Amino acid sequence: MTMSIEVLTADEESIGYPGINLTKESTPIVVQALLGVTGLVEQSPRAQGTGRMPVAEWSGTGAQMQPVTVFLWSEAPAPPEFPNPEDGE
Amino acid sequence: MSTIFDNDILIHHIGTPGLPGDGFTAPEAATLRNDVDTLLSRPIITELDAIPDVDAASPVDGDTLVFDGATQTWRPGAAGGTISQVRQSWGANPTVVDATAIRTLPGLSVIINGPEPTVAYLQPSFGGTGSATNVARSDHSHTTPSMFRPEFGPTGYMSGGSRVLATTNVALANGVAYRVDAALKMQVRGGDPGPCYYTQTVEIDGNARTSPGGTAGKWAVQGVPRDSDWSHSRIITGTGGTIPISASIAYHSGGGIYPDFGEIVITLTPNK
Repeated sequence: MTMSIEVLTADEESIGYPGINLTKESTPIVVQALLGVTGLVEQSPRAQGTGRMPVAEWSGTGAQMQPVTVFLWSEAPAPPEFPNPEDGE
Repeated sequence: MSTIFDNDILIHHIGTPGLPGDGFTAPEAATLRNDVDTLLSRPIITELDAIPDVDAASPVDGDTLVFDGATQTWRPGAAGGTISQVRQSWGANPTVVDATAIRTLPGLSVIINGPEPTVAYLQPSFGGTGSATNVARSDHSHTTPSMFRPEFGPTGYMSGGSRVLATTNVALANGVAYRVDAALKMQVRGGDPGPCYYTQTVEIDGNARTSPGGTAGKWAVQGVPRDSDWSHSRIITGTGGTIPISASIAYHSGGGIYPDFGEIVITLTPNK
């Protein structure tokens, strides 16, 4: 399943990485290697303003020493099925 | 008179003509006669042609005297103030003989210079502003606009904040004004049920243009890729350095979004 990492900084900068091999275990390694995020502490996942619940959530410190929140997201749900007008429904 | 006595002889002295003390001698009289003869022998001038160095026996209307160096005489010739020929030396070669005036049509101006009121300067009617003194040819070419297309790929689910999609630096030549166009072209999917609102921003050299947010702005549908464009334009005079151009997308409200692949189409059109 395609996953994606979202790193949100305190000043609302968003950085995203999609990938099929992202897991709860690999995410801290990826964000540290790519973004220099350190001090990651896993948090209990909380539903965000979009209504979606992340697979996992961490708090940490960004390369600029600003607080960051890291989310691991699963791929979007399948598109909703649209009614076929020819079905008369 | 002195006293006369008997047997005196009376002697009369007859003086020479002329002023007292200025005798009129015989040689002088001869010279005078020669001078008179010379004067009386000169021709009687009653018309120009009678002057010895003028040969104007048959003048015609409009003639004036023109000196002929070969014969060293003044002879009838065309009056001054005309140009013998004005000719276009290309194409159909329209030619005006003995032109008495030169007038200009739109595109060519007559300039009168104050200190020289009798001199007419001809100058092309330059359009626009500037200081160039040469006239452009109709088949001249302009500098081809430069194009840049920094691309970006999908960046995964977005639940908040603003995400830079692509950024690049472009060089502008010093002193040249450019119209800088930057168009963000991308696909966006909704990530959750319901409308997924977002905004897009294109920033050129620190000046940003952002799409409206919320119900008046852009939104995506869950799982459905949609083409989504936004653009910005500026007029910038180059300094010889580079300017940054970037595009970003921001979550606004509703469901989350998936910024998928896209590009910024950047066009630099020099104002020349």
